[in-house]
Amino acid sequence: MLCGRCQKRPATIYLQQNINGQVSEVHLCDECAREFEKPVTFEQLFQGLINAFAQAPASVEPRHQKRRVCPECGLSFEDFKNSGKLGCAECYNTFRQELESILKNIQGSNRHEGKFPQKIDAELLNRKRADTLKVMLAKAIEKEEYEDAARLRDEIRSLEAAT
Amino acid sequence: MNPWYQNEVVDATPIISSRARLARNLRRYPFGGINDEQSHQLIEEATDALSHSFPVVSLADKSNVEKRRLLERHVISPEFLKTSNPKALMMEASEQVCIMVNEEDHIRIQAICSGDNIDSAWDTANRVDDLLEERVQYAFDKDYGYLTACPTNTGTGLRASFMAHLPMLERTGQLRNLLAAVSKFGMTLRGIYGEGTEPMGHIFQISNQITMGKSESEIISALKKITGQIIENENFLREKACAEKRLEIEDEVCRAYGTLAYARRLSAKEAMELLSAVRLGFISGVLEAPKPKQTMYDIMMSIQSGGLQSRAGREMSEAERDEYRATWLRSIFNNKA
Repeated sequence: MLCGRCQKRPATIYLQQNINGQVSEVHLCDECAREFEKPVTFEQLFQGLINAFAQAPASVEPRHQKRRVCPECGLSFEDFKNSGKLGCAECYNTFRQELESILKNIQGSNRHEGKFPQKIDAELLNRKRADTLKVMLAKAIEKEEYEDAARLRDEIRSLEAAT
Repeated sequence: MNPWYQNEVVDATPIISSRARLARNLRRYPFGGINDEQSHQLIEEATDALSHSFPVVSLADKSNVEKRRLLERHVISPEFLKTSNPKALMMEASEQVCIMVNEEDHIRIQAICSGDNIDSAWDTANRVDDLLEERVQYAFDKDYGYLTACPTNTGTGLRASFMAHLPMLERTGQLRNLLAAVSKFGMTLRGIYGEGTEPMGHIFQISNQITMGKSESEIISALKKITGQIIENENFLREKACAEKRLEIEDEVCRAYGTLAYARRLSAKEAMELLSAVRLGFISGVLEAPKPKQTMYDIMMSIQSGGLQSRAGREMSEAERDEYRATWLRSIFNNKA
């Protein structure tokens, strides 16, 4: 196996990172592993991981990857692999399939939790509200508060119908 | 309003400061490949949205020394100075809130508070974010959250951190073990000037690495827990050393004070070591010498090359800086100098 970082020398060292129970791994040659002993930026490590995952047999066909270019900024997946940076917001749509696994491996999750712009469309607001109500519904059922549960169920249904 | 690092809280415990940074991009501009015309439009849009609240600082008018000084005080990032495309900086006089426009991401909002005060730093950054959002259209994805140039920031775009002075953990070699432990919780430990830099003066930044799958409050709460553990360990080691090896610690911190009061030439690295020992001496109560008027952290930043040259009002060679640094430190630690 070739080193996941330089892609030139054979890999001799196996590096595993466990983030929130999400294990990511990279194989390195002696030389690159020595580099890791120096202060290394997360981006540098991350770039190695992108390469490692991009090269791993995945559901995405490699030929398909190379050809695809972001219609808005012209960035290709190869460019992203080299720089570790995306070119614009549209890149996230263009390379969504690849980013799903890359984000999951780097971040331990590929879904945003937390703040969102208030100006965002009603659909997201409804979805977020429905998620909160579902948690409340489960609690109401657990406590056998069936009147509340029925009210919550109706509210969830109407929110879901609206999205 | 005085800058945050002049508040004596920064010297009270191992925690020097708390910081929240938000990475944001605007929907209609490219990230990295932004041209000058788009950059100017972006700057206008962002500064217009916040100009009532935050004064714009002209970077073009600043010398290299002054820019370096801003970097040393964590007002701007190294990335901000790296590229030559048009940029803007908005900053409060207290340096508690800084907004960089056209960095790696279009907007980086940063709020710093002195001491252990991450909730307040987050509240401030969050409020600035809300203000901006009323006027601009952010790049946001329903699944991925706030979109950033580097996927390591995607999601909340939040990097929350504590800056802490950890001399005991470093000298006992326990920091290396901690590094492995904190990474398991999606956190990281870095040197004073961030990624890829050597730690100086035993000052470290503890921050979250993960920006997705956790809300801002979960990230901050986890960071507080981890940092609490680290500080507890540092305090325990310091108290133990003071009880068991008091003379050794006393000798070290008093020698450091003496060198700062009398040395004729000091490199930044050596001065940081000495200042770190003196800070340890004050916190542990071992050092009974007079405390300088400035906070130890303010002194630590002032002796960096940008800070020194800015004080001197001229550019200096390394040898000149070492001499000037020692002279300035003597004026602080030796009343008779």
